[in-house]
Amino acid sequence: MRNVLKNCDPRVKILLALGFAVIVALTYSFRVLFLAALFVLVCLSLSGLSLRFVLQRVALVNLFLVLVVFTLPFTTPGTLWFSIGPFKVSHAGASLALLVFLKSNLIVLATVALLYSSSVFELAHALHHLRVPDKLVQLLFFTFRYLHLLEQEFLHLKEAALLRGFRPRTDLFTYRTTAYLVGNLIVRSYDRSQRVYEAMLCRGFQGTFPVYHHFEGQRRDLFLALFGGLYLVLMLLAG
Amino acid sequence: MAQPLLELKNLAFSYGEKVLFKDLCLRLYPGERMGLMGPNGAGKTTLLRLIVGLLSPEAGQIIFEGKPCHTPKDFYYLRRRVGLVFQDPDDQLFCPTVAEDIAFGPLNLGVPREQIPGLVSHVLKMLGLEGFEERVTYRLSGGEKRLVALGTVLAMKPQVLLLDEPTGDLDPLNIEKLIDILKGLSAAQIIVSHDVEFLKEVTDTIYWLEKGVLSPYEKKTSISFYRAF
Repeated sequence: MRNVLKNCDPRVKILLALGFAVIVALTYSFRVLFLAALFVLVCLSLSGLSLRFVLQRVALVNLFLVLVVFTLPFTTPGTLWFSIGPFKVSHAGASLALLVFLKSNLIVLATVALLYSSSVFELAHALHHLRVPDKLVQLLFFTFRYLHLLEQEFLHLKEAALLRGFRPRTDLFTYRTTAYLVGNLIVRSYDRSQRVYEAMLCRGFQGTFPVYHHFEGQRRDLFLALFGGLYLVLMLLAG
Repeated sequence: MAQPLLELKNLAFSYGEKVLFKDLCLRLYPGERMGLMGPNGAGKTTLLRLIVGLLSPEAGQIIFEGKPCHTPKDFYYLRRRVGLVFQDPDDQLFCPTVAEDIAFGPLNLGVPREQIPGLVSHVLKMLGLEGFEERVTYRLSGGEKRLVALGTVLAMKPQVLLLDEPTGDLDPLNIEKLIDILKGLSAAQIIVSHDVEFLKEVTDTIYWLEKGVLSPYEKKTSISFYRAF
């Protein structure tokens, strides 16, 4: 049963993830969030992703959420729940914080479970099929592609600096070196991205992404679309 | 003699102040294999990029199959038949797996999907990399990457093959392999390289490009290698 989602049609997965995100983002009902959590659990168990990997992704999102979740209870007006010294926590604030926390995590988890099993290449191709404008698809694809290149170039430069005995300290020399590294990184990555694009042009690239493993509507995809879609409708009705 | 497949006529190009060519002419006939040497920065790579329309010349013409190419559409047509293998294979390979990367060109050309897996395995066999289909491209060794990068272009069955320093980081065994592959192709080739022995083995003629002038390569010109010191 594991890895089932990997071989499913990315078009169905994108639409499900989008529908899920919209419904969860707009709801204020904990009942819907409970149903959403069930959906996420099923998706995760079908995705074949390791728990550790998923937790890492979620941890990253929660880093941003910390600020929101810890300020909302104190800043939202409402009936007093309890107070810590001069800081008053309201019922409305606490429930709002919980809501935001749950919503964000559920959306991220569902997106990871559904989309991580497809390559960016497949997703780009699927977006074409869903009639997303070419320019947007290319933007998405190249953003991903170039982020990867940026990282590679950065590692190269860092190694080169370390190999020549560079050790970061808090002095002007370190700041200047870092500035050189960043400057070089931008120029190099730009050049490299240009070359990758040109190499693609040389192989007949015209703005679309043909995939090697073509999607064929299979029974599995139909099931996923049907059950996923029905479940989303159920969530809507519950809200 | 027959009509040249590819002809460069009075090509001029410069990077800002630095003039690379003023009046460069070159003819490539079907099936001809041409080597191109020259000091660093003489414009060998630039010449290849001009041919496939990645750069546009300041003056002169690029004529393919007797038709001058000017518009992007002309060059799109040309690039379907003239394949350029980049100097750095990392620039060329961008798909997750080897099979997908090799299939990218043919799929763009509209080769029927059913033929693709056969074509991919045929190309891999030609390169001596059988069974590499599902390998992850960025985890290949330097030599394997270089061969796969060549494969991505060979899969498009080009009439003209442009190679930019194809021996790069290949070991002697792989160089032998490359020589066999290139000699077995019917496509016309322009090969940029610093490896005289390799060029002598593969190509019919070797040219020397320096200061915008293309001349037949003779031993004595190799002295200019050391002129800089």
